[in-house]
Amino acid sequence: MSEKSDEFRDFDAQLIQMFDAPPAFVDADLFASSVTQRLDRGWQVRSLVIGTTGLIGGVIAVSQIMATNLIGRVESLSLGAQQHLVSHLIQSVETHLVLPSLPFGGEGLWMSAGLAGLALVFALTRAIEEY
Amino acid sequence: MTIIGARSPHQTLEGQHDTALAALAAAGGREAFGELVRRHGSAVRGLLRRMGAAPDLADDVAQDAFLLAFEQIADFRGEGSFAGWLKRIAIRLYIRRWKRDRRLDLMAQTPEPQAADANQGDGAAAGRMDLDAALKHLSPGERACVTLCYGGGLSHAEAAEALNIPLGTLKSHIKRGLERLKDRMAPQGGLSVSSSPVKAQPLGRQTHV
Repeated sequence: MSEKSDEFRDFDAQLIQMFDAPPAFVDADLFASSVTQRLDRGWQVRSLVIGTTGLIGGVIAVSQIMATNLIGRVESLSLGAQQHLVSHLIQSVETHLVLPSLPFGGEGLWMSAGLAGLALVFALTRAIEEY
Repeated sequence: MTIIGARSPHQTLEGQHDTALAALAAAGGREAFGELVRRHGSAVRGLLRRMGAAPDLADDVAQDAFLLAFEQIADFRGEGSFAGWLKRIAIRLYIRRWKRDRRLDLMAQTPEPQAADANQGDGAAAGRMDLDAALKHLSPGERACVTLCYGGGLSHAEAAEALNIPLGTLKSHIKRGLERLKDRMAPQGGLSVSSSPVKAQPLGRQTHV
């Protein structure tokens, strides 16, 4: 009985070993290259689909922007906002600051206001570029 | 200028362990995955053919298995062997195809007709040749069950679940399959493997029931 079991285990172990040893295929390299080719093809198709979708989306977005004159509106909005802010700033400066106590005259104030306006325009331009 | 000791990328990949290559492949390294295909292509193709798939179908399913493995490579965490993980993917795909096409009646008891397989392995090892030749004398069900458990590393319970057959039916297929294999591969032995179905499981592949 135990002899039979031992022989059986030997056969079992041999069978596992045989199954673990893969057969050698003459076209193994061909198979590997065909798999990698399919992988590459899938990758290329994916890249093409993503690129085409992006391009179509971009074209649609640009056409929509052109159609609604968004840039013109943003520019006019930013100019309006800029003028409003500058005038408000000057007004508040005139209201709250006592000009005679400052070490510079009205020219300096106007120059500062101009610089602030420039900085605001720069900031607005950057914000429009970013978003 | 030649740099002493410099290796080509392919040579570098050849020296890597499967788990390291899988990690590289998960990061998008298709060359690393190509090395895995070179390493395990024959094992997957061989397994599917041993399960009874025709050469063309086996190669087709094996290719699909590798492509799916690349898609799911992030799921491989190196807990088992890469080959085992890959074989399970291939088995799952083959059984799905099998069910879809209804190519095989698992309850069929007669061995498949013998067909010359020109594209089969070169038969360099006599043992391998014996195994592949002997498997052709098994019924489709016996062949699939034996190969799933001994070649695919599935437990009896897992194989029964994969094939959607009762555990008892699977054990019967394996018992009869092993008897036939033994007769073919060791005709002088005359051993019966039917005395202990539980021991008929591959070592380390106990069922979970």
